[in-house]
Amino acid sequence: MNWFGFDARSLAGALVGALVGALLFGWGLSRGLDLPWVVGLAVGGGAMALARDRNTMRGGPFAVLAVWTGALTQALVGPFAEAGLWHLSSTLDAKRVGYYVTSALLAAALGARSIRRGAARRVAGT
Amino acid sequence: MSMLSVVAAAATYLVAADLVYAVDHYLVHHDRERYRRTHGRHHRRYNGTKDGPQLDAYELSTYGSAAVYGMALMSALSLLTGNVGFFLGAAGKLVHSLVFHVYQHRWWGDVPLRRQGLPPARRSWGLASARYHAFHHSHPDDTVFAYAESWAGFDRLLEWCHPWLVKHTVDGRAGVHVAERRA
Repeated sequence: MNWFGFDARSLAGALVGALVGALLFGWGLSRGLDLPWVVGLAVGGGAMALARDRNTMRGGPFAVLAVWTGALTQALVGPFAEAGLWHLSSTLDAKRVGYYVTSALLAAALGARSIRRGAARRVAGT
Repeated sequence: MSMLSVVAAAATYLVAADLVYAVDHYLVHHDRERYRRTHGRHHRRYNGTKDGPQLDAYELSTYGSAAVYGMALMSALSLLTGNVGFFLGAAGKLVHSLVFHVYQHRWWGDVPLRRQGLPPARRSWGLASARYHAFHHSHPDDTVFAYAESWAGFDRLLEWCHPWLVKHTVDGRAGVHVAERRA
């Protein structure tokens, strides 16, 4: 039994979304726009677009993907790059924590869904 | 970051994860269809003649993916908080779950769990020993709950909640009783 809950399609959608989200977040950072939640929106939206079914459990890994993608992006581009990846926490004030939490929640909530009308709900172990 | 905060974060995760494990363990024992499809084989294997490695592919994937899921979540939390203890706690849970199950089944022995003559689990509020949890595997329907893997107190709390909680389980809502579940 696998608890992750995603299949190849939803994972592919999430990965493409992560790439798009990283590009948008990085582009924004280089222009003074700090919008980490864009990554979560793209990850969740990508998974939702390709998924054939609904699965709550896959929301967790997609939330993690959104957080790590955002962290990696800001470690490479923009004003927070100096802190690097492993000192992400030093760049977080209350507002930025809120942005990252929002990113994770968007990825989890959207990534667990499917845009297909009447998509079946799949549970762990099936 | 102090060593104390790392240890506290790791311990917090270990205990919180075991609460989730214990509650889900209770719920699968009160969901006849899910029990038959998944968890029941775990008990069947150890109550009969040994039919292979102590942990088979199903068990490794179940415990392994659950623990890796936790590690993934905690990696993000460690990144956001700067406290690596959350991730170390999740890694510790993976090791603990696998070693715990392997140890309690006497991986290195030939005697099936049921025939090892383990003493019944006692209603304790202390740490859950491997032997305590092993008794649950050989006696899955015993009235003394032994679902927990770290703190036996979770089982006492589940026993306390059971009369009310069982009505809200899948079996409880369907009016299924223990004897029917095993049928």
